Amino acid sequence: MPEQYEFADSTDWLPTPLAALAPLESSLRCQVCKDFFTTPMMTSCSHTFCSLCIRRYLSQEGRCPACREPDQEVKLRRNWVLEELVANFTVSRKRLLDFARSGMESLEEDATETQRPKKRRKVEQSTPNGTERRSTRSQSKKMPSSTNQPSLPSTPEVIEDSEEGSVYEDVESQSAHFTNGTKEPDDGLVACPCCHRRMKENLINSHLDKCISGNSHTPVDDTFSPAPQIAPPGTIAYAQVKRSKQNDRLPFINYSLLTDNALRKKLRDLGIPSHGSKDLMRRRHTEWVNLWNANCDSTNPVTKRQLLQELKVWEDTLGRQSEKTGTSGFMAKDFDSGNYVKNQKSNFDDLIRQARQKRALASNIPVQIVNGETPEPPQPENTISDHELRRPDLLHLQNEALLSKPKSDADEMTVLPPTRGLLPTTQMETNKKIEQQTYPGPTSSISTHLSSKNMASQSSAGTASDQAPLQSYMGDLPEPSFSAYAP
Amino acid sequence: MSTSARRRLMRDFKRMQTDPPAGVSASPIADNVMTWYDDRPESRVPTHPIPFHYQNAVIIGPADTPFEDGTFRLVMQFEEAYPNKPPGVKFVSQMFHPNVYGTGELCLDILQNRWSPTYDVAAILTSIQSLLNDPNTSSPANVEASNLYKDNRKEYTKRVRETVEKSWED
Repeated sequence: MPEQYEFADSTDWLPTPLAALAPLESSLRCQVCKDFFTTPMMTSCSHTFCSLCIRRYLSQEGRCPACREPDQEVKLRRNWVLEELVANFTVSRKRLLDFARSGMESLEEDATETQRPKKRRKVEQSTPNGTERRSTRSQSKKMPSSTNQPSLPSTPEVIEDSEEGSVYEDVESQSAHFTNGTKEPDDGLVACPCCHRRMKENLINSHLDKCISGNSHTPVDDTFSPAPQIAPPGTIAYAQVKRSKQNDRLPFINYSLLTDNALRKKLRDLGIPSHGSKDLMRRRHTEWVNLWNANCDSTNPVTKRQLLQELKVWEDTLGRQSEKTGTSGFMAKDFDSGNYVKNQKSNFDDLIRQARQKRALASNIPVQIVNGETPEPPQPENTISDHELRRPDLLHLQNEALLSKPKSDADEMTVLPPTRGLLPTTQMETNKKIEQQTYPGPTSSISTHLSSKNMASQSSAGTASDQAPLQSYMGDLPEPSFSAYAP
Repeated sequence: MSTSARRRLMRDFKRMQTDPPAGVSASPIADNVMTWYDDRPESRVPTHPIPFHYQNAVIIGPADTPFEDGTFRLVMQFEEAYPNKPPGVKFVSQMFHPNVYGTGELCLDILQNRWSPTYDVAAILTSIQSLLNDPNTSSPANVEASNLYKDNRKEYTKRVRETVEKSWED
């Protein structure tokens, strides 16, 4: 298996007793990058995304990713309260999660059940040497079983790979200015994970590059403007911080009105690379404007030099990629599917097993797995033509599922697919909402109580409006129908 | 070294591990994820500029449909523009479906003009899963399948079952 990076995700809560926090965390994440919001911006249609995410998409499509309403980047507005929510939630996330997992552990000890949760707990730990913020599963497995690993002083500072990622991601080990309870000195500086020298946050990436390549004696140069000090969210100082000026932002230009040379000059004036075809220059300029303007939105803007580094990353990946790549690779006409399936047999067999397992779990039926193998594959010598007889084991499971539990796959299929992945909801949450609608819960008892006090006319309105937010929210979403595309 | 596309894909992958929708699964193809870039953190340049990121995926045919219990294999191909651009998705298992071409390519609106960057791997796979039993015959990719679906459902079901049985043998 390839090395697997670990990312904090709202589903981290699902196996814990605090599973109800999963939908909360999900709503604090951008639906485009699925990371915690970085500089959340609100569209005219009141959807919120990270500044860079929405700017990139608007410059490409000119529509809201959630509801497809036409929109323009100049209409974007900051969503301060959401930024504060994210900051405050991410500060306590790690401790909450540890708490939830320790709660689960004690529950487990009672039940003497060991399964996935333990695995997952280990996976979250950062590597002891901490040169990277990611840890691998294989590494985690090699680590001593951590049932009572006495809170290893988690690596004090971990560097974000890319500045375009959320500044709050893995905030438990980062963002000294938001954390009060760490052992880190609260001096606004961060330590290099290699040489442990402390420096300003905006210097760490360039320093780290040098440090790792063995050039750590380079003095940490101070040519950058100092990073603005950020007051903790929720304080008056935080609210009063002067945000970057609106007039810093760059305008988009009408590329078709510019000649190649005029565009080239424009790029030179901006101080960004000016080589390549007009198309490349156009795309580079668009990316630069997006990076620049998103940085202007940010509470904690980075230096131009860092933005140039991000542009370099873009140059090496997207910039280098030509527009017409859709017909190569797997999508090439001469791609040999049959041969590919044979070559990837073991991988596909694993996937089939996973898919079956999850389906069996969803139906609450224990699937019989012998030595982790796929449930009995069809025997070639089995000549019974009736397909229903070929897999009696699974048929049995499915019948049982249909009989014992009304909410089988089939039901789930009709309810979930349109919303899954589009809403910040999990399956669990969706089910919960369905339940709320089907049986009278506390809300209806309140409304009957009200109705007894001469408010009979409002009682029905009360329950209806309880459901309204969900429905109107779902109404905002991209077309949930998955009809085939007419070319 | 990470890009927004790559971070998003890793996130999608984690989601597929921790909370997969029923009856679907996906994973990056070994040797591809990590050779995309040189893995040294100081590296800012892709040393193996493979333009795509690939995943294998499996969809189990939904219960109570002709596709029931089929193990349909797919490949997904993501570019650096993901999620602002949809991935390429195609079946590598043999399919008989009004909206699947002979090459395995899908004719699905959300993978083309109705793509949204809010979709992830799980959403794509569940959409395809629900497309299996809910074909759109107004713009068929496989005319024969479309006609049989409309006019001779029994024969259609039989042909689909053949692909289901074939999928078990792959």
